Amino acid sequence: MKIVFSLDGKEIEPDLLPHMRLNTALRRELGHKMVKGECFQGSCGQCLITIDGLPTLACLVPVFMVRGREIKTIEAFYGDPDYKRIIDGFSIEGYSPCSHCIGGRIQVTNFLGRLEPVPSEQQILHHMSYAHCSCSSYESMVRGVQRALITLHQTRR
Amino acid sequence: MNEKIGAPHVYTPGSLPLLLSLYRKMPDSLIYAGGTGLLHSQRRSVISLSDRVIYIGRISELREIRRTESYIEIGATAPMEQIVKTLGHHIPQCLMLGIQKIGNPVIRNYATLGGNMANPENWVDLAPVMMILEARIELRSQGAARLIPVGQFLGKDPPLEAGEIIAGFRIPLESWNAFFYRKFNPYHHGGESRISITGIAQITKGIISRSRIAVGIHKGAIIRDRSLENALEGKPYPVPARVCEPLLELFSDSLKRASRSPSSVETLLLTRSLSWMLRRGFLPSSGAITRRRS
Repeated sequence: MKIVFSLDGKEIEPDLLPHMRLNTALRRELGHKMVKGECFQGSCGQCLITIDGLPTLACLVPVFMVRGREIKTIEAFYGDPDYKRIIDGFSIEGYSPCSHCIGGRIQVTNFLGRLEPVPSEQQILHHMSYAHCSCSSYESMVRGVQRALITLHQTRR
Repeated sequence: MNEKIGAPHVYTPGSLPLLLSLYRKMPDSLIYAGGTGLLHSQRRSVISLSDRVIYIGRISELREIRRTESYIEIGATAPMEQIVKTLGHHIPQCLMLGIQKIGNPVIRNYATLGGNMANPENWVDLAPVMMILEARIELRSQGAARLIPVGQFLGKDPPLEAGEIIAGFRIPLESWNAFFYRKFNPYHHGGESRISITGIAQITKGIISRSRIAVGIHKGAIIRDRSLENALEGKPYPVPARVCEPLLELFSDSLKRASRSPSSVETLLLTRSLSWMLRRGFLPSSGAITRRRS
């Protein structure tokens, strides 16, 4: 089934199975290796992408749902100045997520910055609760996200 | 295995009349909205669906959330996070708590109230809440629409007629100043919830003037005990231990009489939760609860 959608800023029309999970389609059929995760339960958070700007777990989305949608993966965000600002904010506070969860954490931080420029600790924990990874402490994550958002907020003003 | 053999035909109607006419022609199709529950229950990278799927996520009429002076209306495909954001402090707090206990915020960006209520496997989540709020479900089919109480919908098997869909929900806005919601799995901590208990009450000057309490049991049993609600009327809050004991017995008996009664462990946990709710578990929802001095 040919499905037209925008992937990382490029409009594409690949031939995909409509009932394939989107994370499998992106990784296996379209070569986006940064979209990880094989839990298929929406619990590991490694397949996090954005669809029309909304954080989404790609394993819980079948391909037919993305017709005409705008999908962005972490790969599209690499060249963005905000990516570096978020990473810098994380590292200043000593927050270094592992390779499994860093992509999702960066994307959710960016989303959260647009939603709430100065979020509370509770809001950060709420938005980051999509995945539970033991790679870092909650305290350092909250500090890292707060620092990253301060930097983002200053540059966006 | 060639996976293309099993590929479903997916229809994406853009309006409600188009959906109803399509579903009338193909009543055996799978109606697909957020799909989070369905995908969560499967383990393979290519999911198993019906031969014909009608995707309703693009129909704006089904996503609307509205508030009037006396009730709120929620479209069947409105995502749960959207419901919480749009209604803000107008959302009944037991409904908000129930929503917050489902999945995680990213899943709730797609999970819908209609999807949760359509599948009896999920009734442990929000069905008891909708029942105590005395919500109504709007059912639509081509050329017909009806608004039925949630209790009636939950008691019917199957709840929907052929060609009929859940179009939305109407929740009366009533004045309740205390609420309680708890959901758990007694057999596997952190696993899928199997039982839930929820309650709302109006507590004035330390006296429970009215209350509603319901229990959800995994795979489709919702129990609302009106005799308990009547017995609670006029009781002080927190309910003293000597007053609480007969109420707990009443509750335990009504659980045993239910068509699908909970196991002994589940009954024990539900009774303990009710005890907690009555002794000090109610949370204030608007304005503080004035507790009677003992």
